[in-house]
Amino acid sequence: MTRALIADDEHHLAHYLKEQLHELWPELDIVHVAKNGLDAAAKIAEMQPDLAFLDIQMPGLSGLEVAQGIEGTTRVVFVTAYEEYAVQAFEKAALDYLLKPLKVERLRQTIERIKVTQPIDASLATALKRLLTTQPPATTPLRYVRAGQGDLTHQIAVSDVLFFQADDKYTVVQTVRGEYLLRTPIIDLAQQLNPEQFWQVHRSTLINLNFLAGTRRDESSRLFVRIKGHPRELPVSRAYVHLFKTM
Amino acid sequence: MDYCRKMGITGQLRFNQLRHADATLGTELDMAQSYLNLLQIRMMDRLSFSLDVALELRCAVLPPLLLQPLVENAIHHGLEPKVDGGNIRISARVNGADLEISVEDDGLGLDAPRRPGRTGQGIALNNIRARLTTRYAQQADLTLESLPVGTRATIRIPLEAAV
Repeated sequence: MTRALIADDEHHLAHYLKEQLHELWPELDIVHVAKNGLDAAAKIAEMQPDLAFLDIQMPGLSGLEVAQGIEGTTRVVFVTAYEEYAVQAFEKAALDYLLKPLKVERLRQTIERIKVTQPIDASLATALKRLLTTQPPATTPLRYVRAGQGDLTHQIAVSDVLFFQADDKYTVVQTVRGEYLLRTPIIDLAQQLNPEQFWQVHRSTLINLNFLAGTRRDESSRLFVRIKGHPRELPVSRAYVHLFKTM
Repeated sequence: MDYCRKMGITGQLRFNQLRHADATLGTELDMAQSYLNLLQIRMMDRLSFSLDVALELRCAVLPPLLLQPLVENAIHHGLEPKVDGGNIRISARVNGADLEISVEDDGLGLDAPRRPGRTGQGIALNNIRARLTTRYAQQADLTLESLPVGTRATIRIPLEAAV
């Protein structure tokens, strides 16, 4: 069920919008009616509704400021008496911009538009969020990782690691003694490791150059790396082949 | 204006020909009250107000639409942008030969940062000052003060009574 929040400091207008939405879109679940911008921002963060109908001129925070602060997948429809904010509103990726006084026919169009617009894909949102919040490279490279094996956790010096390899939700840490599991994604590890020592050779693989035994090219000219103390070769994806050109 | 005569106070005040365009403090207060009643429908418990004006002062002559913009400023700049809203108090008193009318609010105050999309206070206030100067020269003025919480706007004009 689609969940929505309404924010308007004018109670009567919020109530009217709620009634009209109920009439035109009975399955919509209105989870909260916020009285000001601060209330709206807090409840959106807490309840993660699919939609937020935001008035623009509200005490505390304006609707534009509330929209700017949304971190989840909540999509915004602005509802305002002022038309001069339309450009800013669409810059904040508004789904729609409704002018007060609200006209039922116009609200019906908005609802149609919402229904045909795909909700923001959650995994895409997560990926974007990671891109936006990625930490700058640590000043001192990671020296140890804490990885699990069965119900034990081991402190492993990264200098002992042959390679890291992404495996579903985990990252496999391979040493001469065996495999361990780590929750940190490859993409984050790559940032924390010394780039002189660890090379990314594949979307899912980071190898320790100290254990690099050599490379092999097969008949269809795919490149593989051989790792000292490890029986299996690891594929090098096309995007990283250039790393080995000078070797 | 009937009750002005009934009150029998007009004789104590300096008679002045009532200019056609003039209003009285009474009618201006009534208009402000209507406006504030309307705003209460919108803002509900975020807005309260009080009028503190002696009955006999309601006959005082006042150019129209001097008070109204001050009340609107108190709403737009003081209370509407404040999360909890607040109170507006309109008062009038005689000070020597002058009538002083004040609009006080306990809103965000003069030092609050300008909010995007809210026009500055310049236009309404400059307009009031220009009208006061045209009509009364140096005998009238408009002052704005910061209160511990909020703002007070005061108009001072020569006291005249409507006949």
